[in-house]
Amino acid sequence: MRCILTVALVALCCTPAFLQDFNHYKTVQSQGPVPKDFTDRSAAKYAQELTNLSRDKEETRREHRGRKKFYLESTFNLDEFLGSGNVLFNDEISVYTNSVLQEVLKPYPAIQSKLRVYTVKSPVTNAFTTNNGIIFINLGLLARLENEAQLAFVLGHEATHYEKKHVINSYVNNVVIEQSRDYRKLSSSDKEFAKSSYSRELETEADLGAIDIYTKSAYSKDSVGSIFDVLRNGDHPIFWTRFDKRTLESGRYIFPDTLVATSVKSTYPQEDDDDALSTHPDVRKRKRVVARKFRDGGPGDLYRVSKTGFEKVRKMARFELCRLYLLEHLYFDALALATSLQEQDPTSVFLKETVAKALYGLAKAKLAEDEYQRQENWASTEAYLAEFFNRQTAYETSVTAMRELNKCLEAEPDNKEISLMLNDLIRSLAAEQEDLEESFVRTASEKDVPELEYPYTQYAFLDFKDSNKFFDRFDKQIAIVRKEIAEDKKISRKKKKVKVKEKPLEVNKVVVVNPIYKKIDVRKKQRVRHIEAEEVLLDIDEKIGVAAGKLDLSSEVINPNNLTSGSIRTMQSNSILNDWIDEQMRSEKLQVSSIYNEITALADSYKTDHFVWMGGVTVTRKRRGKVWLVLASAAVPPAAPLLIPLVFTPKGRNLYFSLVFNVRTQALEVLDVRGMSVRDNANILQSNIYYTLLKLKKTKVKV
Amino acid sequence: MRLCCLTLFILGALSSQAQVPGFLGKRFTVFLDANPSPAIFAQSTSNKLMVDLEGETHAATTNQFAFNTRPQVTVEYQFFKRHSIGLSYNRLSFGTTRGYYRSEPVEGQEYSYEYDSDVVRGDAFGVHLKFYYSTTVAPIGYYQTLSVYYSRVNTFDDKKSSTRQFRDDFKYPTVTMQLGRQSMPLKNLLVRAGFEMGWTFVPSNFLTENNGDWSAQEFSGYKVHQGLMGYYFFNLTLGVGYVLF
Repeated sequence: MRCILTVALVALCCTPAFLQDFNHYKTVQSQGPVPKDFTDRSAAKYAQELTNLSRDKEETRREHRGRKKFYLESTFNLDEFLGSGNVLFNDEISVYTNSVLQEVLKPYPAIQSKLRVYTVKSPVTNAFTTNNGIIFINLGLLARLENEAQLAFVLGHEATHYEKKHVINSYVNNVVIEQSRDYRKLSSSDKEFAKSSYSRELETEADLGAIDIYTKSAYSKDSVGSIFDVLRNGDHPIFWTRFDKRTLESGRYIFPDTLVATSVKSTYPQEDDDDALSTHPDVRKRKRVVARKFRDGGPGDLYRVSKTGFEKVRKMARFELCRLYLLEHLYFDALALATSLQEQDPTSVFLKETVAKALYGLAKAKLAEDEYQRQENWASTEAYLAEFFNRQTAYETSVTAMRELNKCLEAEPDNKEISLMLNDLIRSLAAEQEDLEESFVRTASEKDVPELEYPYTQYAFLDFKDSNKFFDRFDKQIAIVRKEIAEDKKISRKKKKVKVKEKPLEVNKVVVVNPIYKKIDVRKKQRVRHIEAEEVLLDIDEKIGVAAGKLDLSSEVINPNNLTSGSIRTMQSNSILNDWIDEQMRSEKLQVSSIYNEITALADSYKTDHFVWMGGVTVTRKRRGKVWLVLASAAVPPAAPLLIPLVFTPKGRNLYFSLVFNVRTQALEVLDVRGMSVRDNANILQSNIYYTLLKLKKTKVKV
Repeated sequence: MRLCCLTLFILGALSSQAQVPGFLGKRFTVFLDANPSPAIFAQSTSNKLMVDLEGETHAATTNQFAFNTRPQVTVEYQFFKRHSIGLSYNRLSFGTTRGYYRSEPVEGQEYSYEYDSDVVRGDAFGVHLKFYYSTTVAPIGYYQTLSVYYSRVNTFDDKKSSTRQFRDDFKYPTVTMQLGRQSMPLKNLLVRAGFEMGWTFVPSNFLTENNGDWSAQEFSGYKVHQGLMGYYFFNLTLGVGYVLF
């Protein structure tokens, strides 16, 4: 088995898709045939689970119902997660983690064959498992691991969760607790305690199981305890170097010493070890248990599958984290990680761009006076970096960002994303500062600019390869802003409506991304109607096609509910689009996306810039006042045909929404939200889809 | 010529690629409505009143289940996202009471007349504007209609009689307002339910004068006015429709 996996790993690494160039790093994507976990219908999976569901003699009826509910909820929620675009499969990272899983579970062939690992694009330091044998491992955890042995221990821990059926047992336990007679009388903290104590028991059991698995493996027993340090520091930034302001300086552009902190908090505050309300036991307790077990160490290797494989995968995870931090607007984390990675890859264009993009995001946030962008909780060496940018004003950070962006642009003149960011930042700053164009020395021979609040900034743009080119752009962007401000003033002075020239959008094709449909019936015990909703989603591609056809539009649907093993492009696109829309929803003001180049490349491949996110929620509830309807029918019999049907039909309410984005301009072209007090059916859904696309077709934009 | 124009219009509409509002771009709808109205203000053709508001039923009897209907065919054209215009044709029928003399009254002497039940029949043409509420996806959802009808009725001895009892027809305009909801249980099939209130511009003698001062002919005429007004005053809307093209 190991042999096969090693060959597969080598073969996959040789595939062009896997040849990762860290200089021009490209985001990791799912590859190959889509696994059955993604393609099988949720309803079919649930039906299969039900056929396997037998009632134990010792099991109470409540527990049995809890198990049934668990299968329903977990199957559909898991599939929703798999289709979210955040889960990677057959990629280099997942292939490697799977081979480590196979290695550590070698003595347990029964479990080995049932488990598989997928990578999750999340910066959170975590891994988790599901009842059907999927282990999810976050990039945030992989990026922090020190060696393969630690990964093997984590996977052993998750395998124990699977083997001991912890997920379902925990769920059923919670259901039983919630349905117990005394539950309602408990305070909220007592409720938490009741649930979390069982969860901690399971975690301890999983640790012990992992110890057993690990003991039988060929991995080194010496360093495994340090995995708990990784978990304990999971919330801290990944930073292993020293921040040196000189990396951002050049020529006469020297930061004043006042920006550099002389002292910072040396360590992070020790957390209280009271884990009473936590789902996991305190890390120190867990570490003690493992340390006791492996006190004498033992033979074994830190790397069984591949040391270079581990290091490459960890590096990829760290590069991916740079991207994720930017998408999540965690600019300080992105700066810290990219700065550290630059130690190993000083020439990496990707890392330089990450720094520039992080500074751009930080500058935009500061210009928008976003207080949340201050990073005051860091300690140790990373705190110097945080303090430096905390002390900079919005103006200073903007100038620093413009410098870094322009440097990136000089290295890669065709980089559209960086070019747009630079233009946007110049315009944003010009809107804030009236004399911006006069605030910088343009040639080495030019006199200093007098009376500047931050004199060092005037030299920021002197030492570019081609300063004239930068200043051409600079002046052009400022001129645009000045013109816009003048026009706005003119309009407000005249106080009358000015006719704006408009033209139709001229949309010829749309791509509908991951349509959502939720059905809730409050009359039923199982309120969320997963199976019915899935049926609607399976048919939605056809409905979109019909509506688009009527409007002379061509359409494509990226629907994770309708996948086949060959739908790899759908999954790859879904992943990028999901990242992009998440970032858009996070941005309060328009700013250039940190994955602008990726999204425009995707738009080019689909031959359209118009992407639609649409969905619907339908709620069915009991009709109240039925007695009054009957009485009214008796009092006014001719009204009976109108009133009596209401007695027998429930009340329905729907909410439909659609957002159409032009991913190239990042403009929200159509926002269509409609609440309807009618019971939902296929025709209403069809009509709503049609109206959204019609609205898009009729939308006009300023010339 | 008219048929030719209509055919060309229909063929053109069917062959064009719709980029317009409506159900999947279909804007032309035909409806059949029953419009049942409780026989409170106008007695039914079977000469039944739901309640006797005036305290004297004359020739009519009371029945709690008495109601009138106004069968209606409507064609509607949705010209904006939430606006439609329509034409309708109604068949009107309700009951009335006719006054007649057993013997010719002599001038200067007191006289009285007898009552007999008659049927009012006729038809009406209407035009309406329909406004769908903002939360709809027309033609599905809640709507409001403003209509103008032109009604033409006469009285007959019974439901089947074809002899008009008045030399001239009664011709009056009516304005109505309808509130309702349309749903689409099957593709292209619409069902609607709601209510309609209307005012017919008939002479208001029956509201201001005492019927003791009227002659038998005046009584018969004013009773038709009263019936026509009551017929439109309030009715329910129940109909089925089909989205044609």
